[in-house]
Amino acid sequence: MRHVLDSLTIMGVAELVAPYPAIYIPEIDTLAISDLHLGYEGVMAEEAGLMIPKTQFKKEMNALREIEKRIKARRIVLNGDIKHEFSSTSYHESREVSDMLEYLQQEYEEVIIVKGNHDNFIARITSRYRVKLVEEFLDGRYYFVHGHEIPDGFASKGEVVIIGHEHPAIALYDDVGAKEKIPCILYGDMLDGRKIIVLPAFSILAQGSEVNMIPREELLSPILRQYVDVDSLNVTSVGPDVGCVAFPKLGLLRGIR
Amino acid sequence: MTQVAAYSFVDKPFSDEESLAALESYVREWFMRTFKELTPPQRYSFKLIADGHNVIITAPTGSGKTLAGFMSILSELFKMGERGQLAESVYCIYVSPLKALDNDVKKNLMQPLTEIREIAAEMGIELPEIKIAVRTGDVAGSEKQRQLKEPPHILITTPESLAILLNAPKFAEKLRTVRWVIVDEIHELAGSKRGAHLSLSLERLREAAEQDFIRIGLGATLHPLEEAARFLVGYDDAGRPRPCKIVDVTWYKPLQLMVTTPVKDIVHASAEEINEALYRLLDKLITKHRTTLIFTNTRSGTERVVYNLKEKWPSKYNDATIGAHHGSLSREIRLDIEDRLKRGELKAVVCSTSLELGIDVGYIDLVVQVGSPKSITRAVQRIGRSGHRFGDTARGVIIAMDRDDLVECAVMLKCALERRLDEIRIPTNCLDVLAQHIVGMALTRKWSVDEAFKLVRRSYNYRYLDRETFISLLKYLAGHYAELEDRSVYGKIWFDEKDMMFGRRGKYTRIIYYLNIGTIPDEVKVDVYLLPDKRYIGSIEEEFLERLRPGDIFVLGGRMYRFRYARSMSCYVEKPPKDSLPTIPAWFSELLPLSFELALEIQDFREEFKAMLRAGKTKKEIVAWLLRRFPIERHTAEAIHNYYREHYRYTGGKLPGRDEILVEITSDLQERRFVVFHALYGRRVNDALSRAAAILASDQIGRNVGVIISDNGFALHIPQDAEVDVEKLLRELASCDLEELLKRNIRRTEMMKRRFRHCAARSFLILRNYKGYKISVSKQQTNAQTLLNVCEEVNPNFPVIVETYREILRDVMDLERAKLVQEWLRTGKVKSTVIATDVPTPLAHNLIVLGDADIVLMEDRKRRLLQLHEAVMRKIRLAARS
Repeated sequence: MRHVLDSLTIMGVAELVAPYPAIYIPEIDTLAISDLHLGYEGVMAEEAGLMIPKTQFKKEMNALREIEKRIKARRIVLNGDIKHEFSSTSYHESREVSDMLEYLQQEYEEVIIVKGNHDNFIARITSRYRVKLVEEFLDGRYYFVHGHEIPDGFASKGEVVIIGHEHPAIALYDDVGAKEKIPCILYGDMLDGRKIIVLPAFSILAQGSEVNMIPREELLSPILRQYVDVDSLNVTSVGPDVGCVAFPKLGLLRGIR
Repeated sequence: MTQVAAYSFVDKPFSDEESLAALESYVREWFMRTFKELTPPQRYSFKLIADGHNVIITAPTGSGKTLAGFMSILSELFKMGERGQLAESVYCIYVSPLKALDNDVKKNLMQPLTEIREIAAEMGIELPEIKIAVRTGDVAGSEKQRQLKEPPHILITTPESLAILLNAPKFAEKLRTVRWVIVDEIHELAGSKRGAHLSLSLERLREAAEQDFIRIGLGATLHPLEEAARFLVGYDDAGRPRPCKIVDVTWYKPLQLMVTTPVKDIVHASAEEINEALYRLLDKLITKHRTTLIFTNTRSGTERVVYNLKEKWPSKYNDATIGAHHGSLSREIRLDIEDRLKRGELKAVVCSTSLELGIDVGYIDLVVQVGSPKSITRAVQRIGRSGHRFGDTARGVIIAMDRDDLVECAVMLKCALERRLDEIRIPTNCLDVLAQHIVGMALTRKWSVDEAFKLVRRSYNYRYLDRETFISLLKYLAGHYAELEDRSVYGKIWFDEKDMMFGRRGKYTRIIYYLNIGTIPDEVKVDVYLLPDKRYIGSIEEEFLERLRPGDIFVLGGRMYRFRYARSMSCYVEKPPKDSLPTIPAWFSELLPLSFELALEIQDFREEFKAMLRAGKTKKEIVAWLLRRFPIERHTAEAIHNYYREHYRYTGGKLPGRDEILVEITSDLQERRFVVFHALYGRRVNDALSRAAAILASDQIGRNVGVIISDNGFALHIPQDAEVDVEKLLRELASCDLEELLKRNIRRTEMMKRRFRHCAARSFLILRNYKGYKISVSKQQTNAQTLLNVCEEVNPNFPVIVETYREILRDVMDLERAKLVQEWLRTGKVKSTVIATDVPTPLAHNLIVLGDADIVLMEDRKRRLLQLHEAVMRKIRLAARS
């Protein structure tokens, strides 16, 4: 079909592993994903009385296996919010996180976990595996941060900034008023001349921000609010059930009716 | 299937002597001192209940119904007391759907309970006290403790509290002695999931009780009474309905009815003029009567009427003389209004629907209904609230607000006067309700599957439940959809598939049961904040939010707001410019549907009307005919005449009656394109036909299709650049397997998501209260669509999904009658005619202005995305050019 992309090169520095919400950076032989929110259903069941069956872990694992088949990378970076619960680590989370780390350390030479705002107490689990838990990760010109806060020295690090946290999606309406919310990857130039890639959530359950509806000053990530003119970013839909389609720049998708 | 009719109508009342002879001497003496004579229901009930029959009695307000139900029971209880046989235990349970009614009934029984003892003492007989207590969600814990120590002989409760009592470890013991159960307002309960819930409670109670108890159903009128009787009494294990006597004394109360309109010309009058006139008319009616009860159908309507009357005539209407009554008001306010109404202090009370039921409303000499009550039965029930004293006439005025309303109400009142009612539909096999009871049963003891299944099938609502479905529900409740090690969290019961036994599980289950029981769904509310300072201004429903596009203007709490953006469960709006108009109609979800029977009556009326137009009758002749036939005034008759004549003229004689569905291809002023089906079958049938038509149209053009639904027809909202082959669509609509088509595709509608959330909450899949905390929706963070997707992936026959389909196809839609209409189309009994109009016909106009009620999505999500992508690119190119 027209418009559906099998691959997407992002600003000459990374490739989208279409249709999955993952990117590969050849220069540093690194795969990056973000916002896995493992243990989501278990946390919802225990904390919020939402007794939905668990499907996310299996889906995320399947996606990881497909990605691994396509791209053999030396290193994988999980760019924050590996698990869902903020305050503690539930039994459901620790099981799912353990199982996934078990798999990742087998498949990748190096596993880096950048801490997100949901990742308190995760060290208890990661310490049992051959993974590196960090606040941020810099390799050459590539700078990985989760995006929920602006770390010290942020302005002087890297040339390509890769963040998660926002779970970007666009909302579009058709003639008769039906709304579609479509998860997206965003990328483009920052105000200071560096480049930025906003990774979509790897989680199928966590809600996303409708970035073409929400005013810039209301976005979740302070990096997007302060260092980026989001309207200048490129937008490509991502996800197995929608496929990858390149949309015009975010600013043009605002106010479309 | 041949079944012995175990129920029978009792047509002849007993004589007053016979009836009174059924009572103990001191009870008889009390009755004769207090009343001059027996009321019609009492002439049947005293003897029938004393003789030990199950009985259902329908009678209007003010007919001494409560005593009709209780008198013989009080007599028997006193007799037991006299003989020293009265233990500290419950003998009679009274259940009503309303807490207010419960309190009322207790108050009304206090007098006979005290006075009968006094009279007996005069006669030298020492009677013990008969204790009576109310048990509802409002009753304090200390009172409940007291009730356990001193159990009442007569327990007054609600369906929900009864279900909880069945699981109260100590108190349940006290229920084992029950000999009578009275179900009041049975007309309200029977047609709902709440009734299904009660019916299982009664079977659980029967199972726990020492002996079979007598069931007494009381209510306003409903039809057919045989079904209501079976609902009340249920079946025995051989599948035979338990016996029941039926007493219908609905009609002894004379009715005086009238339909009117606020202005003489409702077509050309502006909305403002109509409103002004409505308040003048209400003022006139209120002034002419002592106490007026006004029904508005909606809460916002109630508020508007009260506000405007007070504003316009402040000396006449103020807090001392008029009050509003609806479900969103606090309990204190409602009780205050009820008390003042009973004491006759108020000139008028305005309510949504809340005073339609039971509580003793005191002296009311006029009922006014603003807009159509949508069913003959409901009209009779509401109007029956007037004429409080036995022998009074019930007076009702219906004020029709548009021309469809007008025709509908005229035909409705004619049917009421001819005593023809629409049919009640009792829901069956509701799995979500059953899930709650299975959890409740498991909490009491271990059950074999067979034993529990037998119990469930004694309920009318589960008579035809199959074992496989029952077991699927057990598996679901046992958490079999989760991995073994997670079942302690997900499972609410323990279920051994090998031994086919089940029982309790989990430390939180009891509290989950207590705090989440019930059938009335909580809508998922999204908080609305006003920019720039994000002040909280109210809430809207999740589904309504999904309809909002940035820039849309909508009304909330009487003010207009413009939608900006949303973030999970919060919605941000701003003030729109002055003189803006709403771009999206207010939420339309809970409109009452017009009954199928009444719809057909209206069709017949149109048919007759058409015949007169064809025969060249003049306006004068037709108006005279209308005046003879219906309880209406001259200007109302003229409005009906003009409406239909206009349409007839405009379409060249195509006024769709009983033998025709008129299909109109048209567009409105904003050039939105519609295919309008003038199919007057009531909303429930149109709910089915419209979705089927939209699915077929969507598949034909490969696009999303909007659906507008009303009682008088439905319309498909077609994308501007698509072309529907309407003839082909009609052929497919007539020949398709309707049930299959809907089942396969109902997933594509928005209704599915909404109903799924309700069913999930009732089935304890989504808990509103967990571990003792009320859970906010924002904490659950997951939208209905995601929930549905996840459950479906795990198992397409997940009981909650099965129940959602059942509820949509059987309760929301009237599939059976929709199939009937299909058959009429196939056999040519009803033919379809297609016309194209530049401007919508008068009949189409009322429909189009309603706005889309649902959207049927095209099947393939990837294609949907690509179409959106194309549309976006096109719009951007257009924007760049201009």
